[in-house]
Amino acid sequence: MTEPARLTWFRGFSSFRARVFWSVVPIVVSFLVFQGWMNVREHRRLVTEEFEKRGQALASNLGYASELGALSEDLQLLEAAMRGTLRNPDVSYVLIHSRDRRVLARGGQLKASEAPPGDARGDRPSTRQVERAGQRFFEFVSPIVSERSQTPDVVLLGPRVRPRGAEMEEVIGTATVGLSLAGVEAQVRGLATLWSGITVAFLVVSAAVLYGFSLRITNPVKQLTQQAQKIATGELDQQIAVRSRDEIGALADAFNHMTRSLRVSMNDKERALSELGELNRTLEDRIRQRTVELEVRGQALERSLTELEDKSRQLAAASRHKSDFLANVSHELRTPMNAILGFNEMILDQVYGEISDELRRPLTDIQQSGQHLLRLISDVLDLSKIEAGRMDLVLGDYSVLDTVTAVRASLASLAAEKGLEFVVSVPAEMPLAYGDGRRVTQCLLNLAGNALKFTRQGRVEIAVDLLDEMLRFRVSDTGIGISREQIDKLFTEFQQADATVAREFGGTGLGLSITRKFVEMHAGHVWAESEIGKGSTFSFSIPLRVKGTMTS
Amino acid sequence: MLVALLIVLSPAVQATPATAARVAVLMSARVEEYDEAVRGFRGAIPKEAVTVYDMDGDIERGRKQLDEIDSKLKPDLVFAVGIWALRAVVSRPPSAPVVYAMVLNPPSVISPDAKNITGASLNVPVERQIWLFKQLGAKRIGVVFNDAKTGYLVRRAQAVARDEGIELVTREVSSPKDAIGAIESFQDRVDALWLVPDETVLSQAVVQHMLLLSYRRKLPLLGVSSRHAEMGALFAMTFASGEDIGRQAGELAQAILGGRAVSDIPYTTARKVYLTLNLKTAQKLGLEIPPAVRARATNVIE
Repeated sequence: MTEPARLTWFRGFSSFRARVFWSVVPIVVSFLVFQGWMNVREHRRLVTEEFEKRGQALASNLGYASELGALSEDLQLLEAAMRGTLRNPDVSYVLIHSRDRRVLARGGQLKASEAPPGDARGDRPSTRQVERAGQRFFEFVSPIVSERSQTPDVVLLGPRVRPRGAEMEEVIGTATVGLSLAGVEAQVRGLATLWSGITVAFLVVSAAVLYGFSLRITNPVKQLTQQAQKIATGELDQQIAVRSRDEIGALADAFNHMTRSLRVSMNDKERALSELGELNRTLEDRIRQRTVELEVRGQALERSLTELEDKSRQLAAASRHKSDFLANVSHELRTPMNAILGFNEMILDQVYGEISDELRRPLTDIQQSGQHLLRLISDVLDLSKIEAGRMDLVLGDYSVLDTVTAVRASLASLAAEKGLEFVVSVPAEMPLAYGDGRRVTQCLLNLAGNALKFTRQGRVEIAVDLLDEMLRFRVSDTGIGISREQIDKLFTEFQQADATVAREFGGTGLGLSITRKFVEMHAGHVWAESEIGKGSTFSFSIPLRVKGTMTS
Repeated sequence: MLVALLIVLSPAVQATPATAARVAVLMSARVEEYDEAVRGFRGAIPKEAVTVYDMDGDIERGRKQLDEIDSKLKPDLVFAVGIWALRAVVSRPPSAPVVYAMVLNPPSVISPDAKNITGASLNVPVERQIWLFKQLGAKRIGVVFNDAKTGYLVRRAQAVARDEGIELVTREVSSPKDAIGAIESFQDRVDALWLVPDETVLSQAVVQHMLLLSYRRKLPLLGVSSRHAEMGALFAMTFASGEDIGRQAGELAQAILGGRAVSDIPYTTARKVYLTLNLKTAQKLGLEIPPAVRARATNVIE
């Protein structure tokens, strides 16, 4: 076999159609052959069985019919008995033997047969296969049974008067029937031929059906293949016309759908590519334009910043001047104020003689207003000093307990006057703190003063604790409370929570601002928590021991 | 072992055992008709003490029972029921006189010189049978027989028939095989067939052949048993009942016990007979049954 020829042969064998054909046809053939073989075998068995039964029945009947003839050894009677049996087309020969094996009568085509009869035992015919004159036969031998003569007593009185051991029947000969197997064999041959015919016909039909069936599969597949090849070369406008509704149809549908999707996405891609090219062309121009715009804006910004710095410098200078001025003015105001209060106190202490009760009242008012004014001036001075950067902390050891006790002592009368509970709590074993004790006292005074001032009933508490080398002072009250927005503004200068509050409770609005400044100078911070109507807690925390010299 | 059954049938007998005669009953087998015969026998001799022996169909056993009867029972009479009992009694005669019953053709068993035995046979009187043929108008009656068995019967029948103007066409045979040929030889030579109680001609095949000939040649056939009438014989005449035969035997026994010599008492035939008539066969044979015959029929098959 040449190489190309072998390849063609191989491809022919490995094609889908051939595979379907070679996977089905052997099954069909083997099934048909097996079925045919089984069928013929079963048929043969049945026919043979039937044949045997028929032969046995024939021999049996002949045995009965020959009783009289065998008894009398009368040829006419025997021939009459054999006549019925010989009419059967399958019967080839019939033999009647006497008890001592003499041939009493014979009939059929095979008259020359002189074979001795088979043994007949019992009351059933025996069966054997014999070959006579080159032909095969089924031979059935039935005993010819005759009832023994009955005594007249038995005839009259029944079998019970028979003496013991007396047989009722005796065998007086045998009837042999020979059936030719030719008929059975012809039938089986016919059946085998029929089955061979059916097998061949079935094979041809199934091959044709398989061929047609495989065509139905392979043709659309071929179409699909051709289509796919076209699509591979870029012809996306192809559609496959497949009318079947099976898997091949579904595959063709999917293929068509895929082609459509491919076409759509190809179009999209092309459009996107052209847009991208356009964008590429315009991008540089736009970048250049934007750069120019940004440069212009940057220059304007730079100018504004410079101006702003100038203004800021001017503003800072003005503020410093204002603070200096305020510090100076406050100091100048405090000196005469102290003198006025000193003299007034001396008047009230009646250093200059007695004073009437009418005079004592205005004088007391003067003393109180003066003190308030002095405190205000003092506050303004402190604030000015702080803002002017001239406030220095005087650092040294101080006792937290002493500080708190001093605050309580100075405010106890005010608390008592308003009927408020005023408690302080300082943990025992509190170590000495290092810082400006006077300023810490001032902070506490401010916070506790405010608390007492804004609390109508309930209690005010000062509590101190030490945590991680940080002192935390907490002043809580059961006063009017402050809203969330107001808390944020509290620690700026001249701010009170509410204008109406100032009218009712008085105050300058500088206390919290100063407190914050002092706390921050101690490297601490201050904060407030409050709930309207329930009270407020003001806290600040500072290091237990402040490092170095702090200035504002 | 020998089994003796003592049946005391009457309380009166029990009360007066010394005056009553002793009777031994030897039964061939326990067959209903034999029991009936014993019953009939007892009815005829109610005062005697009866001992029953059952041979169970075994002649040897019967002989041993007879030994026992002779040596122990020492009866005044032996009553033999059935053919086997008769054979036993014939082969070993007891010392007491013997009355038999329920036996066919006793002359074929008992030798003519046996003196101490008589009985009631099952045979139907030949006169009645010849009378039946005469009623049908038969002139030549075909009979197949074995001289050893029924020769005596055929000779008597010939004598009776001759008086009635009827001829018996006889064929003497010695085996069933010959009987077939003998029947075949009748053909047109007879106008009626008579089956005699002879075992040579009572085999199924011979009876069937006789029936075939009866049908083919339209010959009325008189059978031995009602079964023959059922099979297709025109009629069959048999004894009426075992009890009757037993009673007949009882009467004989009474006469013997009364002092009559046994040799003076001949054996009897059935006093009452039973006629079975097959009208289907009559129709097939194209026979008109005379009213006299119909009137005698005890059983009619239609």
